[in-house]
Amino acid sequence: MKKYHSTVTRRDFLKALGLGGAGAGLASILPPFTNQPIRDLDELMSLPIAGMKRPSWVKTVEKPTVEIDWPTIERFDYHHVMWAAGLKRALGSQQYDQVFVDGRVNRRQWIADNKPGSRLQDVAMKEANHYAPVSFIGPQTSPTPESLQVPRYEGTPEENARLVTAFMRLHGASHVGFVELDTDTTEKLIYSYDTGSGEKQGPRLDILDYDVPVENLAEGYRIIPKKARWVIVYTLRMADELMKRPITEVGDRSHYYMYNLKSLLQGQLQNFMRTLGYMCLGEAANFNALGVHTGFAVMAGLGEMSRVGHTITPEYGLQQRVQIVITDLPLPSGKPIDFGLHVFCKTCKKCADHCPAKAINPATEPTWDNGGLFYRAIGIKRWWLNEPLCNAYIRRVNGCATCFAVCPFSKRHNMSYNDLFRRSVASNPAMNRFWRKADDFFYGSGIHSDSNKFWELDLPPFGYD
Amino acid sequence: MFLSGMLIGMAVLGLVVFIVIKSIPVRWYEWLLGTLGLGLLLFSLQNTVSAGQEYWPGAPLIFFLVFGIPALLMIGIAIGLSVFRILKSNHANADNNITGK
Repeated sequence: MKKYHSTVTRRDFLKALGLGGAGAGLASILPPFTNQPIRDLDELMSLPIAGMKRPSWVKTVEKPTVEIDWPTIERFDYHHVMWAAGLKRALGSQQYDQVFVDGRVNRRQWIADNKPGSRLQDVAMKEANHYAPVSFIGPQTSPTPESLQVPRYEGTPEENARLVTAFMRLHGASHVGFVELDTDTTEKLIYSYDTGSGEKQGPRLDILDYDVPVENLAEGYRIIPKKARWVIVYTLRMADELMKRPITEVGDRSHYYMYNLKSLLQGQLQNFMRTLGYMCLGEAANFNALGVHTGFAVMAGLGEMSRVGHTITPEYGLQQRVQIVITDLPLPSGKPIDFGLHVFCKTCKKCADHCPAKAINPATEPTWDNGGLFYRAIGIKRWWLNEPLCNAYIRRVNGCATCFAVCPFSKRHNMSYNDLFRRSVASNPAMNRFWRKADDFFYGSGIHSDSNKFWELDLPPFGYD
Repeated sequence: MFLSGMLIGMAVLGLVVFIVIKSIPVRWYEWLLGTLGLGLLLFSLQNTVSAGQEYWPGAPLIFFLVFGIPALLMIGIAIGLSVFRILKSNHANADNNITGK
């Protein structure tokens, strides 16, 4: 058999993962000069899809645009967030229960009323969720180098980055970035307690000098070996046409589908890394686990932190979900980026103007003062949301994300106007107020009110192009 | 979009070749106005079509009104100024021929 670039027979490895078939599929969508079967990982890594070229107006910077006081930051207990036990604690049991009653009543009423975007067919689409099992350790179903009787994969951090990026992009990730864990800074973005089940506090996340990861749920802990020093941060882009229809069941599907995809992709990534000979510690929850997603996305240079606390990327604005895994495969650490977003958020405030729950802080300047509230982290200068108000509203109306829809950055790139807007924000903040007004003038709120029309659209796969 | 770009490019090239061959005198400001107008028209068309493809209600029309109309006016003025001057010049020549000057 002819050997290609690698000394290790990675073709077997590819075949084991079914990547050979994917390679054939990829060949059909690539330009003619690459219209050859992909024979090994090195060839895959050399393809344009393996690199993540950012727009020319995105600058890398040493410090993120959001100010972080690393010495005061402490690892955060996921139990405190609104999606875990935080909402009940913030509202009290009675009001908390009422929120869910309201949600059920609203859903029933809106189906009966044929409310656009919240009819039975719309509910059916949102509830079409199906998750692959997610776990900390991973599915452990792919062969290991030991079982193949070959040495494990070895590459430079840069080669490894291209390898992982190629794999992730091929399987649906929009952005892929990396953060090296540092005890004094980025390691603090790992949760102190992981996501639990419902309102129950999750297992403790210990970072210890172990050779292999350990999960002992009976005793209530998970151990991340200290040698697993790299976080892979990736985004899954959400469908614009769903996202533009917030406060509807179809609108909410844009989030859920990406969580469905995450559950599948994470397991595949864990199996991929296992066959390479490395550990890959995943999020043991469908939505959010292991660490602060926005923090890692910012440190990896995927985007900047926005007024609403989520990551805004130069390419897709707020319209993506961020996910993470931790590995011992050496990777180069990314650098934060600056494309003028943080400064733009100061003058724009469109999300705050349109938030139906009035939960978004409209102040011009962010603040270190977190109000001493248990569900807020310390050591970060940001615009603090009224999280209980936001979360309760989402549950009452069965999905909101109006802020995602109205953000001027949440526009596609087909129109050269949007490219001009992004370039200007990156280089000329004096024009920011003009661009906010221009966004209102051309797009209005950015929300598509006729949600029933969604079903009549001629949409590309995944709802974006 | 590719096809429309090609057609516009061919039309502009044809116009320039025509102007050069016929030795039509075009002033610098007419070139400038025409070029700016053409650029604005392309910008307007690209955004109008793309806004439609992105299903933005109303945005295609607004883009055309805001950028397309001024672009057409600029091109129209540039062409109008040249044509007006040529006609005036032809008229003057004809008058000179009649009076024998």
